[in-house]
Amino acid sequence: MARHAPRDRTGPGTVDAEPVAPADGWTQHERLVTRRVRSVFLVLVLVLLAVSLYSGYRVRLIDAEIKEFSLRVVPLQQLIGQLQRSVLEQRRIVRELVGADPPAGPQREAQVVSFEEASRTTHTQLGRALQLSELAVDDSPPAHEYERVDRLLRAFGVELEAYERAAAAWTAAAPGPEVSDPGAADALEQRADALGRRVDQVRLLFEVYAKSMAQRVEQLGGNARWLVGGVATGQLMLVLLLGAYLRYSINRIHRRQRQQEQRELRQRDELAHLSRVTTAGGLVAGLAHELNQPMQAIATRADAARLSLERHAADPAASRDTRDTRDPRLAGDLDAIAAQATRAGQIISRLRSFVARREPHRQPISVNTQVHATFALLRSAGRLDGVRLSARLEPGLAPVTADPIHLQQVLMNLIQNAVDAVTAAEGPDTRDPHVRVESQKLDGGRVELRVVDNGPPMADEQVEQIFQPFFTTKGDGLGVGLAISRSLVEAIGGTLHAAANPDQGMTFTVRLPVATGYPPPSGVASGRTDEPASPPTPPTAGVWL
Amino acid sequence: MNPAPPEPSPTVYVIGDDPAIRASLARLLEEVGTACVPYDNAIDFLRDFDADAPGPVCLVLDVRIPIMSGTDFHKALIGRGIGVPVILISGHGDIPMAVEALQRGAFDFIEKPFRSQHLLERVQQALDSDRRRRHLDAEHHSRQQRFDRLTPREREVLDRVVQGMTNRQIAEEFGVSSQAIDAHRTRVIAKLGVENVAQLIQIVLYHRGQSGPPAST
Ligand SMILES: Nc1ncnc2c1ncn2[C@@H]1O[C@H](COP(=O)(O)OP(=O)(O)OP(=O)(O)O)[C@@H](O)[C@H]1O
Ligand SMILES: [Mg+2]
Repeated sequence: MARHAPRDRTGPGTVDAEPVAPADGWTQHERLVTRRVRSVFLVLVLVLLAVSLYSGYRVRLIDAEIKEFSLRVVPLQQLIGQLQRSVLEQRRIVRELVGADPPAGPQREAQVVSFEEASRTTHTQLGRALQLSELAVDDSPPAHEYERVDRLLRAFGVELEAYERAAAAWTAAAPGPEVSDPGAADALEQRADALGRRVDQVRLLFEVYAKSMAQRVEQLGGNARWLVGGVATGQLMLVLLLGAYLRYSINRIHRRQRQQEQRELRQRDELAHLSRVTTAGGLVAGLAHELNQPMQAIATRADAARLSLERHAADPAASRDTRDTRDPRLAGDLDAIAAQATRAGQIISRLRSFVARREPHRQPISVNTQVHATFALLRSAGRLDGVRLSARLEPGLAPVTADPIHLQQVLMNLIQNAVDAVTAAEGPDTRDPHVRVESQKLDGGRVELRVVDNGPPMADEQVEQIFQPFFTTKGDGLGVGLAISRSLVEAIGGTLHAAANPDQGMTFTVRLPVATGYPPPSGVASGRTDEPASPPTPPTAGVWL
Repeated sequence: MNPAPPEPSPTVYVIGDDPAIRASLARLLEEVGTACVPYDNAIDFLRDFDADAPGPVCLVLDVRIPIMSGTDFHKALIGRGIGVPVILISGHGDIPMAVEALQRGAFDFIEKPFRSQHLLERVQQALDSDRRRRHLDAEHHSRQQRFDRLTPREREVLDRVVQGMTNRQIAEEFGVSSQAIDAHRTRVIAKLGVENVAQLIQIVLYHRGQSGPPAST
């Protein structure tokens, strides 16, 4: 677990460290905060890692000591206890043999045998004790304790040998008490005492040692518990910390993605706006002309009204007589003037709303209405150059959720491209340049808009290219029209495709999802109700007047 | 010949696709006492227009897509022998188009925005021009009728008079007496309603200028 920590940390870190830092959109402040958070995390992780490692190391040491204790100290203690008992047994037998009332005959024989047995046991035990202490001296950390025990054991062994030899000599030399030598018996007794003292010494020493060892082991056990707890806590915290950091990183990435998305959205809107401004630039001349119409009508009406007033002023009789008939005409002039002023205002506001820079405002709108609005804009700008523009719209289509200006922009781009295509194909056989816009309901809650032209068809491999930004075949084209249109359509969950028609020309198809909650129970509300002032005239641009 | 004193009232045809402009022009023209007939397209106008109807007319054309459709319309007018003066109104105001329109025989080209006074003046002038045209047409017509009344011999004599031959020369050519020629000449002068030879020569030359070599056939 701890091993993984650095990897996980660098994971998101490398992303940040990309050299494109200025373009990644983080502010200076955000980058600073990120760096701080990361270093705090790093320090915490390192500390926890150290604590964990150290605790683990300590626990292993303690474990070793405790094992040592149970493997050496405990058996050695037991052996020493047994050794003491068997030495006492030997001494008891010797005492009996050399005592004031020594056994005789077969009894004595039995005593001698049991002495030899006790002697064997003692040697075996001593051997094992020596073995243990020797091993301990070789590879146990508190070796000096064992060395003392070892030394004592060895001394004990030497003395034991000497004692046994003396005892054997004595028993061999004096088969019975009657021949006992009190001096020798005393000496033997002294040796036995010394031996007993020795083994007492060893036992005592080792008991002290074992007790201290036991205490230590107990203390170590406590430490170990604590340390194990420490390690566990450390590891838990490490996990939590990593989790927190991961979460922080993921949040950060998400936030960053959101920001990135918003930035892209903003950029797209800006680009769309720019392209609209460019388009509008081309429309302005035509629209200025279109503005002349209401202006002229207003001026003419005003002049007519003034003439009328002058005539009546010059002829007071007529004024009286015609008061009743004069008023409606003047009122009509004023009405017409007002209406034409409104019309002029609408032309301006149509253009203004097309180029205005504003937040996109999505709402349920009728695609047919937008087709008419686009036609009005195009036609009033006189951009059709003798191209026949017609519409075949399915009535009562469900609305789509879109920004009306964006939809107009898409239509404008597609229609303008189609007009360009059919007029560019200036050849002997360009008889009837024609662009048709169609709308239609599709299955699966979608609406389709098609812009069909009869210009030159395009090769399939070119169809792939035209949606790329800045691809253009026109001298004055920017090549962004289709790219922007597609991104606008896709932003509202739609698609934009192009395909060559079987006979001639191209068809550009926009498919849009119907606004949620539609179609309404009965299809009364169609795009017709909210249509702008201009009626859906059958477009006949190019035909005389 | 004196035309009937109560002159038929003038009519202005306004053709334009913008209803507001049409209506405002009609209103203006009616305000100054000129009858105005608006049309929203040229095809209807061509269908309805009666070139033989009395009274001076003029055409005010508010063109939107000028060159091409204007050409077609002019062709149609000329093809039907409609010689009414046409005033073009355009908001495009490009010089080549104006030049072309005038070359094709438009009476005038007015650029939007225009002053109502200016338009009214030009309309009056156009109506005057049409009035003159109609008058000349009428004169020409009656003169033609008079020419038609001449006998072949009288025409031959007239031809030679106009060429500047004397009675004697004509008489020699035809092998008749100069009195006979003089009688012919007097009849010709009477039939054509002139007072002297000078006037005779004038109207013959004028007539020929108008309608090609007429009497010589
Ligand atoms: N209806 C069409 N028929 C044939 N070719 C088309 C059609 N529509 C687009 N194209 C081709 O696709 C290219 C890219 O179109 P796009 O609208 O993206 O840019 P553009 O029209 O050249 O410039 P602009 O940015 O001014 O719109 C055009 O240059 C043209 O070659
Ligand atoms: Mg384009």
